[in-house]
Amino acid sequence: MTVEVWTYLFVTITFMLYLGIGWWARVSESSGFFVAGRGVPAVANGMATAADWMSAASFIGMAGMISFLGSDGSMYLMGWTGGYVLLALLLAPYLRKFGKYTVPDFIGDRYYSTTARIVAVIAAIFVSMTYVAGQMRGVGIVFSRFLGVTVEIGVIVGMVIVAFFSVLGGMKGITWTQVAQYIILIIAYLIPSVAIAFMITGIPVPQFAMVFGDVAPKLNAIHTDLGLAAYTDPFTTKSRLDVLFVTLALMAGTAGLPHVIVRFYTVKNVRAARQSGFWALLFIAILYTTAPALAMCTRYNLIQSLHGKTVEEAQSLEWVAKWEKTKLLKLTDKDGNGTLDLRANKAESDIEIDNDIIVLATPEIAKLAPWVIALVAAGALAAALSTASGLLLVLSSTVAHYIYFLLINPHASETRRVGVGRVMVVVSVLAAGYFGINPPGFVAQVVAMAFGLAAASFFPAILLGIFDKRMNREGAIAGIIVGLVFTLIYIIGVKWLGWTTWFYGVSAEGIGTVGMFLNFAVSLVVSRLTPPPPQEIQDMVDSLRDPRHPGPGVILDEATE
Amino acid sequence: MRTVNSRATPRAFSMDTSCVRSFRYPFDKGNATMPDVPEKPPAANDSSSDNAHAYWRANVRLILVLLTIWAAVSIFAGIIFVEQLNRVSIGNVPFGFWMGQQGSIVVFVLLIFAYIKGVDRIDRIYGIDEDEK
Repeated sequence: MTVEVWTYLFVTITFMLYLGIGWWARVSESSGFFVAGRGVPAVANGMATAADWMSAASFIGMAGMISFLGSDGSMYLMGWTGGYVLLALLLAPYLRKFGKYTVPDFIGDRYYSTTARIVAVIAAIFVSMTYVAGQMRGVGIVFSRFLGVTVEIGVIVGMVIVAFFSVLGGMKGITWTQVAQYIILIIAYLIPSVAIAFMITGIPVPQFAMVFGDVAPKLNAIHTDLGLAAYTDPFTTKSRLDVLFVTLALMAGTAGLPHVIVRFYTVKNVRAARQSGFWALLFIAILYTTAPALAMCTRYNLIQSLHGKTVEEAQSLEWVAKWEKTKLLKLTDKDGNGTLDLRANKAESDIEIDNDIIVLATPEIAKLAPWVIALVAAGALAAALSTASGLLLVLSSTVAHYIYFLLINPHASETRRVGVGRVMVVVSVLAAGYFGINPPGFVAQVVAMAFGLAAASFFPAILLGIFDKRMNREGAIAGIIVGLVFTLIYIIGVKWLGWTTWFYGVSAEGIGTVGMFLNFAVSLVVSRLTPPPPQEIQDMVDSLRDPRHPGPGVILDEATE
Repeated sequence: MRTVNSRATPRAFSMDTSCVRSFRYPFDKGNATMPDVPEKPPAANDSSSDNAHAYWRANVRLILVLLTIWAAVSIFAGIIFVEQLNRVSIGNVPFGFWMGQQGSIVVFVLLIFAYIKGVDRIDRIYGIDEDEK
């Protein structure tokens, strides 16, 4: 069977599986299965959180980015997993105890302010939208390759599927569906990684292949020959300060992601919230420690199979011809010397490869069986779908509740609000699809913005809300505004108005860290100069810190009913 | 928040959901002046808010210790002192590089595990039992 047939087969089977689980979860729920336990087991919740967390960007994009950045790719690896530690230690148990579902709820209640709540709602919508857009692009790339169409058409196919899933079946039994999606995506990631690690180093465990195999010294030697900095040398693409600030912004920004925080409300009690934090990071770490090994092996393999070859030789490789069609791989003999040469400078390099195809092309480069290639496609779709459905859930319920119910029509009936929620899913998918198709650079810029803004706004406000009882409305709002405005202006200035990176060369991706420190400083100073929060708020903070008497777990799956 | 439908009231039996929203839970079990040394079990006849305070301080101390390690393996080992650590190798890769790409992540997982165990221990010492009604 060909790759295409296998792909259709795997994608269909996995989609049927997700829908089937949704149906099963619904049946068992009405027969009292879930009501009895009132919560999802910590291990299952950990897997679901891991699937929610690891988006198409983690699955498709990350290894590619690392293989391009080399040592500096550490900032993504440490930033995203390190942020998870902050979330698990500093926020999750307390937010679980708080017992409401969203960050805007927490901000609004803790700071007894509608203004704060609305600011949080807008920021939450913005962050979620950005993410869905990233997923759309991921889905588009998968479809473009396996249906043999351009990315634009791939995105449109993806939009239809995601919308169908989210409106019809995806919301029901979402936790168990995500457990299945985690299992599929991790298998799909590990099989080609193991294969390519074994092919290049003879060691079948990618984590060990990277450390004990000889791929690192060989790759460094090739880099030196090509006049590039060694792969394992730090700060070749960014300054040390910038790497540090980007890492911190990713850590703090990640800890405030609304669709991941909502996961902690599904478990039985505070203790279970702590435990599922552990399971989730363990499941995430399996992929995140594989990614740098995969990045190193594929980079080595890519250079070996393309560099110094003629265009015809390269194009005779089946995977090269197929990826060229998607325009994500471009081979042009720019200097006309007859061979393809990889150069540090993208404009001079004969080989232009989009980071996003590294993982998807790995099984083909490693000449694995067609079914493995198809499995990777199914895994990438699982990663994209699980994240997109979690985000759409947060988006649609946030909009239906706050924007529509609180601001537009306070007398709306339950049914009407559910309808609004569904419409919002479709609107979000359309908007996300638009951003997925239009300049991908734009998506990258908005992603940087979302992390920076989350770090500069949510993270300090939530953290101080729990750990500083004296923090009051005035301090929090002043901090959020200063952090947000500073970060926003800097990002817009650098990305769109052509400013130099005047703050010690810190890039737009890393400036959120500065905004975050400003937020902390302003909040602390202003709160000490203004009256303390009311007694009932101080009592609320005390109760957050006491893990006893948590409210019951939430069943997310009913969100749009 | 009605759109995300809380199962506060399971169909089978009815529970007063107002307690979910209520913020005041006296530390009814608390009865100790709490020593700075959290290992000691609470003594009788002391104010409950002292116990609550000591419980919280024990938690914060645990978090601070774990976050110090967190910063050491990521920010310091992976970024600030990466060149110094790169002079040493682990297997065939420089150590600082490895810490940034894999080592820190392994430590992160262990940190959360230590956190779970640590809080369980603090809960036991202070007699915090989540499932009490």
